Amino acid sequence: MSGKTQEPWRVGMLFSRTGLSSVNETEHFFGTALAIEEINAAGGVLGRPIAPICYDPGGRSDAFRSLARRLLAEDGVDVIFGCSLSASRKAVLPIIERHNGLLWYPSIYEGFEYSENVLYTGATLNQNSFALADFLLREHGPRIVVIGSDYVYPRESNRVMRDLIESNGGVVIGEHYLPLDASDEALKALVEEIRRLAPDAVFSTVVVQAAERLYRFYADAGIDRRRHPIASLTFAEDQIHVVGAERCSGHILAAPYFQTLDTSVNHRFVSAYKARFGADRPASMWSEAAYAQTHLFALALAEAGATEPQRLGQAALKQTFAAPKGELMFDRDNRHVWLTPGIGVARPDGQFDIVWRSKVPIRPDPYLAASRFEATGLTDSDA
Amino acid sequence: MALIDHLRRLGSDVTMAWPPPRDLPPEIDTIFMQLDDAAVGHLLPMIEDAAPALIAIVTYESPTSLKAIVDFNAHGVISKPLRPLGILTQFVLARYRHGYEGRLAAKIRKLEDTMKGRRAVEKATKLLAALNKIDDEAAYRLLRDRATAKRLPLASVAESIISAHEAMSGLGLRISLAEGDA
Repeated sequence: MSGKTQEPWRVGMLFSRTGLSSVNETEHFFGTALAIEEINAAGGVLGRPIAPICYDPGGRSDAFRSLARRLLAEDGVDVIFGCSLSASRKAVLPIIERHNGLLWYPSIYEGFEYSENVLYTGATLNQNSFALADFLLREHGPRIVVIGSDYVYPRESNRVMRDLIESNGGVVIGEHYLPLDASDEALKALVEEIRRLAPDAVFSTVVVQAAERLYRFYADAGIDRRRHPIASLTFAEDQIHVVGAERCSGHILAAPYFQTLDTSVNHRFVSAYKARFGADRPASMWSEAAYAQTHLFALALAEAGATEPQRLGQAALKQTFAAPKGELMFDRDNRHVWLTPGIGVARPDGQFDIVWRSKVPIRPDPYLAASRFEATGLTDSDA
Repeated sequence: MALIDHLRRLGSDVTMAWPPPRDLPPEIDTIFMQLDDAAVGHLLPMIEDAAPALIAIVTYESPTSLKAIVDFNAHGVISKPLRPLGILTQFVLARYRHGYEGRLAAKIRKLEDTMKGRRAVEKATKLLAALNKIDDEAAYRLLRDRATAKRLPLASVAESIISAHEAMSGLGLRISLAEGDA
């Protein structure tokens, strides 16, 4: 091993720094970059630093596909940290499988997937939606409007949310979809429709830039957010920062991570993040998940001693990492991670009050094979 | 094996059976079965008997494999090398097609019974009409009233009359109406 010890471990990074999804994916990028810098500062992995090759797909699925191919076939990397939207993951998946790469996917998504060439480190629906449905029905009431962007994640997540609401005594009084690049007029019309329906809560899987404009118009329309909040699985500190904290207070997020989590590991992470990327830039579930999975990668690489996807993947399934959100480990059967669900309500300062958090980590159940829809998602709560 | 792991991931209760068992356990809903490696033709009667949903696993598209898929009436097919994507789809499709096939078969059985019954009623009506010199409508009414009185299906009363007539005419006898029934 000595002699060539300084040759770096080359990995790929595929996050959109531009385009519609740039806010969330820049967070993924920063989280990954911070972790790589920390690992390298501590001497790298087995004495070798990690050297990322970074491309910006600009949020376009065809660019994700061709850049994934370039990373695997031309640059010769085995490992890619990348993708956020399910549409981009679905786009690169055949390429990753054909070239036998290993994709580390840090985003929450709708589940119903398993590939030996992917490690999934974001929440799947039983780790966020189940508790959220219960929370909305209990704290806000039974009349729910469900909205989403028009692609696979919102359609699938909303289908599950509808089942959860209806199995627990609620009613979906409206369901609407808009294109990912919805116009301002369409978003404003949707806000007007919500005002007309006056639901007890809105469940939204509208994502990326359209979500930022939706929240802005919602505030401009003067709807009382404490009485008619929007609940989501994605609209976190980063997008609140972009829209303006004063326009987002009262909205609800179901996620495994909030910047306000009061643990020493998280305090260290938040300080390091702000020191590196700016004091006014909040940490979020997007940066934290990317940060944590990169550290898990380094632990796995130290054990496997190679980036060969099968060996590295097997090693990864055995690691645990003390992440800002808590102890992080994979489920060996389904390659997703155990996570502790939480529910936060946005404050006027853009941070979240954590109003509920599970006492125990929840096993990922991407195929919803073991999750019971009528069971209450908040049972192990200390709410 | 990758398939078993994935089926468990999907929430199924999976049992591996090799060599193929003489009898299928009664609670099996779906079988995944490799059709082109080993000789499996002798299993066909057992599978036809239990009628589970069947998903064929094939490695080749040789005529022998293809014939086996048809002979076993596979409801879905997955090919080797196996990958997780597609297994759930074939599983769902096979369960659906199996259920649909079952509903169609039950409907056909019911229709066949109805048609058989209708032919018997027709024949018995003609018989009663001829033997008692009454018109078809009166004969049919007679038949229906008997069935109602005895709380029996019309078709089985008709069948009794037909078989009684056949038995008696073989002995040179004939049916006549009981007193007061005319």
